[in-house]
Amino acid sequence: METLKLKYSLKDGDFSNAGNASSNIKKNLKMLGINAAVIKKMVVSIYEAEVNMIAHANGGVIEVFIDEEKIKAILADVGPGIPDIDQAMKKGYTTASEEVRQMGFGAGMGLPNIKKNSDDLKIESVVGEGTTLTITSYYKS
Amino acid sequence: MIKNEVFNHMIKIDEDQCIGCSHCVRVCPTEALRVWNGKATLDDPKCVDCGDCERVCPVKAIVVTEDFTEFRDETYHVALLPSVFWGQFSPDISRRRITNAIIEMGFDEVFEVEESVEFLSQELENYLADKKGEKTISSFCPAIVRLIQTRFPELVSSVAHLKSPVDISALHISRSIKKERGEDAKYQIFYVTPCAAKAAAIKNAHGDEKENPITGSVNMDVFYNKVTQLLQGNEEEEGEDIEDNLSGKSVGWSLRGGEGNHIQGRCLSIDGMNHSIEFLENIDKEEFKDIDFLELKACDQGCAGGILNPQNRFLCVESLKKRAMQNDQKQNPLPDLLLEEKDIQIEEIEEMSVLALDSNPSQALKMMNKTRRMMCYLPGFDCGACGAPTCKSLAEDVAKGNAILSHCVFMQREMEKHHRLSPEHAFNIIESIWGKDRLDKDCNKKGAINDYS
Repeated sequence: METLKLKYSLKDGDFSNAGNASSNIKKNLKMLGINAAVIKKMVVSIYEAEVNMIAHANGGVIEVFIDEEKIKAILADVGPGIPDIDQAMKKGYTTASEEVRQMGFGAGMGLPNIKKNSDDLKIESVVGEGTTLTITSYYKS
Repeated sequence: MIKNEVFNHMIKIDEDQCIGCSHCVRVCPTEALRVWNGKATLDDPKCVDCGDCERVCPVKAIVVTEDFTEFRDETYHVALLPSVFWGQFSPDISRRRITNAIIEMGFDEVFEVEESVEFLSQELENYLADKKGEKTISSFCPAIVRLIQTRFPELVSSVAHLKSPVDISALHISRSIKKERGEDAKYQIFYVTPCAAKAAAIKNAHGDEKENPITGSVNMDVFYNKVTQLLQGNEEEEGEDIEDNLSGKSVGWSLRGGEGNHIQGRCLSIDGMNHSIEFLENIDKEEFKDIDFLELKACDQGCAGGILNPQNRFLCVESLKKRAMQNDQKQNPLPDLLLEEKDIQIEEIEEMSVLALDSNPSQALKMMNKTRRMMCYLPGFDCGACGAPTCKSLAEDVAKGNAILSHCVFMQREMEKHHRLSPEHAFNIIESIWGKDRLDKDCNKKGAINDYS
């Protein structure tokens, strides 16, 4: 099946470029003629995750695979990992430092928001090694 | 309703004037222009009538079509003027003298667009309150609205569904004529436009006379010339000048920051097409989260920078700011307009995306991958010698089947080296883009030995 692949590297703490990957992904999705509402939700998810990776997880790599049915984003960081995924899925739960929160990040809405805006969210995490999110949106339904 | 099967553009290329220099191709913010057969060609669906091409054309080959119909007899004629029009004149020419000149042209009444601004801004304030902090984008500049419809369809729902002052004022004028002269009164309202986008918006609204009573538009540069000619023959009159009824804040509505001035919440004002596009691409970023209202204007300095303004935009801004300060002190009463809240709502703003490479996503995917494969070969210089603005736009044209890779002069060298293209064929390709005999010696071209301009 025809697949378009996009890849972005994110540097730890690079707040000034936070959102650039999601902006570029959005541009590409628009050129594929995918429904605007689908794009909006997918980009909200990826943006959340992108900011998470820059703010809390030492950066990482975003890979996006788009085929004729779905958009799949794999976001792999090398951060501290999530000890309790169920707790992290609760609204308002945050491990962010005061400093990060003052910059407007780390309100504890991240993972719940990603979940809400995607058709499928898979979280794999190993404490001390990193977290990989796989966000999928089926645009052709 | 901003909805059209075919969108009417007012920007046109005068092929007799065009020298195929590609200046316009390079600056078009929506990449709607290419050079082909020695002439600039416009891809209409992509054009938003911003006029940036006109600013850089060295031979005035980019023209704004006039949408003017002749005066009908026994009809009441109204000239609807934006405040930037008044800003074109030196302060020692009175409003009365300018108005007299316009009446001399055959108009019966002169009305300033911004008279409806106070009414609109109150409604806008209510509109924003209903949105409860959700970002709202101004619907004032039609080039920006068109930009959002075609390139940011996901933001269409964020555009304020409110008409702009020109439409609101026209509605008031038509009602007041009917009130004074009877329901059957015949009238024509002509808007004097500072730009192509406003003219296009009026043209596109035709067909629904009740909602859009404007008959047509007159280009401001042409109108200014006519008024200035008539001013030569008419002297200042003794006595009081015509009362200037605009509130100070209304005067500057069409300038950068002019709308934000009326808003209680947090407003960001951006001017220029490229600044606006850059902002819209990044609108989701965290740092823009708490902005209530976005005032985007396609032209630098807002409407004072419209391509049909004959005077320097900064002098126009200076003049309007002075006028605003004077009017601020007067505390004019609010104009009494024959309008209700529901009159200024827009039902629907349609998404009209032009970005998709193909309407079928699986076909678009193939084209996207082909574009990326083509980019592996193209040099990335964005030299424009292929007639497209960037290597990427050529790659897209190739993927869509509208161009071939050998339109690139560097690809031609590469192909010649491997004996896959003859020099004659390569030359033919160049002539198909830039025009026949284009590379012949011509001492009359701009900057050449015979040019004294």
